[in-house]
Amino acid sequence: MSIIKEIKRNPIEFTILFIILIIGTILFFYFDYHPHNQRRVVYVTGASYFAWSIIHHYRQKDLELSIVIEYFVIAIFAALMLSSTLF
Amino acid sequence: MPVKIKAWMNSPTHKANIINSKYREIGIGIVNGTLNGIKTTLVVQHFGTPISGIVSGDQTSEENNYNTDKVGIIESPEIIVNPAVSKTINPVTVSKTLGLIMFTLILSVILIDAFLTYKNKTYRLSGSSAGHISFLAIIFLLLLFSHQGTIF
Repeated sequence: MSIIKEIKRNPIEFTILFIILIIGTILFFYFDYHPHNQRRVVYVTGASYFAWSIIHHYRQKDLELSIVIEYFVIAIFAALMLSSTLF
Repeated sequence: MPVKIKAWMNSPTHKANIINSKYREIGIGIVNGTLNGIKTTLVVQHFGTPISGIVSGDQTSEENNYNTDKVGIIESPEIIVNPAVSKTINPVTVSKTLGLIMFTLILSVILIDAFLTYKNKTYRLSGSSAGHISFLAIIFLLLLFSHQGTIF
């Protein structure tokens, strides 16, 4: 499938993304019961994902405004949705 | 501290919260310091019932319905639990459920989109499906396994 092919085409970049996401997950559970820190982890993970996407598409030479907006909206949506449930 | 307890029990509204059978747990915080330029001791009560709490009588569990009483130099807001309200919807649970539904929908759409573009060999300028799916799947799992309002 295209998803697997995409990962195989850019193994280093996707490894970096997985490391970012794994670190975000570990820190999220490390700060269990500390919603303020968990929120910070979620925002930083979202921002890191957005930064990764810019670098990824810049290296792919297909960085366009529509792609930037797409990643921005997804990162904002995910971060806000998750942080709104942390109390 | 006994003076504070006596003060709470002499206050009908504070007493109503203390003896309210809906609450199963209590947390008390005491802070010495200066408030508005005056040395004071602020004492805060925090009442709650865990989601899995067993409530006696015919009252339904108030899931994570926390109530706070304060005693200090500040006149605390009088919080009275309305006994007529027997069941409440936890807004955090609503947010979590809606979030999980929305994430499932978005993930499904991205997966179907990735499959169709691959099958039809369509070239399109868009974000990385693998990236989106990885990120959203992690956020979905965090949302699924996060828990709120637990007393520890």
